[in-house]
This record gives sequence, structure tokens and C-alpha cells, in this order.
Amino acid sequence: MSESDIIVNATGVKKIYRQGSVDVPALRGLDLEVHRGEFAVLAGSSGSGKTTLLNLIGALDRPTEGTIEVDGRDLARLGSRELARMRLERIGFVFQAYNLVPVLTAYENAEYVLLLQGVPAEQRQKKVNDLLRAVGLEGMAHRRPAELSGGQQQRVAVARAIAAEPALVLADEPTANLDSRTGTELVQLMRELNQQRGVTFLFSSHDPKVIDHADRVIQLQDGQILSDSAGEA
Amino acid sequence: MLILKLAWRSMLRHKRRSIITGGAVALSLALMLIFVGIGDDGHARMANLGIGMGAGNVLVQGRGYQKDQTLDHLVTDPARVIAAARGLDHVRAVVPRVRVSGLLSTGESSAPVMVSGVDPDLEPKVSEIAAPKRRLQGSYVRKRSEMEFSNQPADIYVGEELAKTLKLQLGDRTVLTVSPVAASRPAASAYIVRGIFKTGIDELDQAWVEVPIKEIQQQLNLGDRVTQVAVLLDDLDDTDQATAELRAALPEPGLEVLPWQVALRELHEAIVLDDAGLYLMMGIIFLIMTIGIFNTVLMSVVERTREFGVMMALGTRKGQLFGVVVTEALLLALIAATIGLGIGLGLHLLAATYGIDITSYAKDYEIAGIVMEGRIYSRLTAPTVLKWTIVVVALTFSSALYPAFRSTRLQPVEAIRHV
Repeated sequence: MSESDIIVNATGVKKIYRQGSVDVPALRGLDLEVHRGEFAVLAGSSGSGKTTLLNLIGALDRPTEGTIEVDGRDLARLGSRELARMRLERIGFVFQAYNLVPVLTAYENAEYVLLLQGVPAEQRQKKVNDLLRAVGLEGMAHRRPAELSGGQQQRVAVARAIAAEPALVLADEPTANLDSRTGTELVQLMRELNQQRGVTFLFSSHDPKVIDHADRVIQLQDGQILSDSAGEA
Repeated sequence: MLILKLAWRSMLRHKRRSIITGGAVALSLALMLIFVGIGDDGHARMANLGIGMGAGNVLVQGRGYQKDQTLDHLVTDPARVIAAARGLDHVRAVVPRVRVSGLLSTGESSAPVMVSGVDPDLEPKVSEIAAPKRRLQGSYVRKRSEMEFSNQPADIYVGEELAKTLKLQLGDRTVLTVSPVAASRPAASAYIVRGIFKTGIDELDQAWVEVPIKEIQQQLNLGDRVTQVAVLLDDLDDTDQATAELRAALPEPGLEVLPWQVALRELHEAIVLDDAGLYLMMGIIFLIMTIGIFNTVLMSVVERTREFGVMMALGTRKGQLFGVVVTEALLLALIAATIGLGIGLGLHLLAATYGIDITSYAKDYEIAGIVMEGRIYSRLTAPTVLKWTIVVVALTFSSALYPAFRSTRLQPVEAIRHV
């Protein structure tokens, strides 16, 4: 596999949180490569470091030690403005819940990133309509988040995450607040988008039914990689 | 456009809170406008009353007269001063006067008085003292040419209290004693009481007399010289401009050109003090309003911490977040100011049309001895309305700056965790 196929390259990543006078290590020197087009899951129990790792890869936080390159760019070398630009253009996010801007409709939430990017209106409209159709929310474009179910809200969040055609979509426990069936449907949707549109997904979960859908399972424990199905294959 | 949409929708998200905050802003502006309108009208009426009570919008006097009030400081060429004053815009009247202290006597008693030598034709048109509405009995003083006999004593016009003190009635003969210029002995002349006035101002009613200017000039050996030339203007607001123009037209070092604010210093200071009280009260109202808005916007920002975190994660820049918060406050301020303007101008229109009767509590409206009677109205100018509207909008806007700044200090990873 060539260098350009690597979308995430994390080397010796440590993250230590300071709680009062105590240092709490969340990640303890972790190495990880994620390749373009992968549908990978970070699995592990609560406190294993999944969310911390996703936040670092997503340029939302900085590591205490180590380097992280996303799409060939070393995040440590970027200022806050450049990090914001990186998130806007190269990374899509889906969070656990309350993902959407409550005062915007489903359509406007999906359109949000495109507006920030300055995509022309006609192009935006075509793209958002296409995306809402793809996530099965065609008739709900003008509903606000409060008028959508949890599963529908997460679908809008997925549509928004891939709207700008990012190099990578990060999803932190996207099914955690959904019932089992809706959660499975959401992962299936992400899987379809991964296969049909070639979007790279890296998401976290501790739900075995969700984990089963992934191509690659990276098992975390106590801030370290316990196992990686890619390495085993 | 995105910022405006987010700001507008966020403002509407908590309708009740926005209505209460906006209502406070609107009410503050409306109150300010009506208070300022009524205050300004009351003060203008008082100033005009003061100006009418023997003064003028602008006074030209001999340099030093304002301080000493003696005949050592005279206007030596009043004709030139009158001509210069009449050449100004918005001049209603120009009247020469001689002011001197004296002693008014009857056969039985006497009293110290302030004598005002006046032009009998001009004075009733410009003076509150000489105006027919202030006259209790008789008529105003006449020129000698209008009298039946050329050698009869001249007319004198006296205040009600003075008439009571000296037991004077119409037609009574009195003797006015003054100290002429460059004379070693006082000069006394007889005057006949022609009329009695009442202004409601004790100092005037007890000790003020008016006589024809020619008579007093003769008695004081002044020739044509006067102690002041008073300039009456169409509008109080023209005073500053007229003063400046008259100063330019009369550069002689022996003259001083004084606006009413200097000539009637006590009245002016009382008005300024009254204004200061109003502004202090409104300042407190504005402060409460600003704290209220600050609290509302800050609460709104804190409530939306997670939302802002998500927005930042999606690539929203700090400047854009700042923009959303301040635009929200600005929209609220503009809408509230528009409503406040509507209410304030509506109340102003009512007060300006119908006025407020203050006769029953006139004593409460006494400033520097000037007693307001009748009705006061509201007086607002476009610059005043604009000024206070801008103040209210600016305060509302500025109270959102810190909460907006706070939103830009959020760390996305912490904000997203916020519940």
C-alpha cells in the first residue's frame, strides 16, 4: 500500500489529562494507520481511549506527545484557524447525540458545511437533496431536529458529515443513543456510503452488533491498541 | 447570510425571553424619549421665562458690568450695537435698557429698588414683566411725548409687593433717588404710579420698577449711554450662533456679549443640575437594562455550549461564532429600538399635542426663582431622538460583546462534552 493511501498516520501518540494534581493517561503511546476507503471501528470499553483518539485525529484536541498526520498534514504544525479549515474541508464528524444545530432544519443542517465552504447555491441544493435521499430522509427536509427521531437525527448528521466530500468521517459512538435496530440501520447506511462513495469511516463503538459490520476492528484497552484485525489478516 | 439566519432563529428560539429582554430595551428608550422631551420643553420654557423677565437671549453690556453691576461699565454707542444686532438672523427684538439700583420713597416710607429704564414701545412685546398678562392694575409706562403735559412727572411701573409695602396706588406720586454718573450727590425725581404688575417671582414683585429709558438716562446724566442692549431671538436654540456672530460684529474691548446661560447663570446651572438628575436616573435604568441583556445573552451562550462545540468541530471559525452572538444581540436591539421609538414618539406626540397641566403643582416646578405655570409639552429634536436611539442600540450591542468573546474561547473538545 502506498503512502498516499494512508489517510491517518498516528505515531507514538500519548494524551495525558490533568485532574487536579493527578495526571491521568488516556492514551499511552499509540501507533495507528488508517487507509483510504476503510470502514474501521475503534472498539473497547468505556475509558479505553476511543473518544480521545477520535478527538485527536479530528483536530479537536492536541496530543501530549507523538504526531498525527491526517491526509498527509501534520496536525501539530497547524494553527487554530488552519485546524478549523482542516475540519471543514477534510474531516466529517458524527457525534453520539445532539449533533445538529437545533434552529436549522434537516436540509439546512446538511447544507451547513457547504455554506461555510462557500459552495454555490445551485450546487448546494443538488447535493443536499441527493444526500437526504441517500440517507432516506427525502420527505423530512424541512423538519427541525426536535421533530425528528434519534435515528433520523443521526442520519442527518451522517449526511452533513459526508456533504463536503471529506477525506475521512469520524463517528464517536454514533449508535450509543439509538435502539439496537435503528443503530444497526445507521451502521448499514454508513457502510453503504463507504462502499458506494468510497468515504473512509473511522468510528468508535462498544456494541458487538455494530462492530460486526466493520472491515477492521481496532481493539483499545487502557489507552493502547490491544488488537487490530488489519494486522491479524 | 448563514450568520444572520442562525442569529435570527436563535433569537426566536426563546421567544418569551427575547420578548422580555426586548421589552426592557424598548421601554427604556421610550421612557428616555418622553422624559427628555418633557424635560427639554420644561427647561426651554423656564429659560424663555427667565429671558423674558428683564433679560434676553443675548446681552451686550459694558465689559465688567456683569460682575460689578455699576455705571462704571456702560455701552457708550448703543445705536451701533442695536444696528449690529438687528443685522443678525432670527432676531425678534433688540431693546436698550438702563439698570441701576435706587431708593423709592413716598411721604411715609421708602424701599430699595432695582430700576429698569426701558423703551415703552418695545418692552411690552418682549418682556414678561411688561406684558399685559402680568399687569394687575393700570397701564404700562409712556414716553414723555405721549403724556398730556410735558412737565408732569414721568410714569413708573411697580411690583405688587412693593406697592403693598409702600402703600402705593395708581396715580400716587413717588420719588426715585439714584446716584448719577460723576456726581457727588444723589439725584431725586418724582414719578407717578402708572401700573402694578405681578410675576410670581418674589425678587421682582418686591423690588422691581420700570421707568421710561429717557427719563432715567436724564436723571443719571447718561446721555444716550445704556447699561445693556438685550437681543431677543425667535428660538432658544439660536442663542449660541447669535452670540458668536454678535461677538464677531462687536469686537470692541469695552463690550461684552453674553448668552443667557452666562447672564442668567443661576437659572442655567439649575437647569443643568435638573438635567443631570434626569440623566442619572436614566443612567441607572440603562445600567439595569444592560445587565439584563448581558445576563440573557450570557445565559444563551452558556446554554448553547455544546451546539457551539459541534459548530466548531464542523469548521466554524471563532469569528463566525462571535458574529452569530453579536448579530443576535444587534437584531434584538434594532427590533426593540424600533418598538421603543414607536412608543416613545407616540407618547411624545400626545404630550406635545395636549400637554401636561402643572398648574396645581406649580411650586414643584420652581427653578432658580422661576415658577412654571400652565402646561408643559414635549419637545424633541431629530438629533436628540437619534442620539438616544444610538445609545440604547450601542448599549444592547456592547452588552453582548463579552458573551460573544466567551463563545470564541470555547475549546471544541470540551464544549462538545458539555451537557
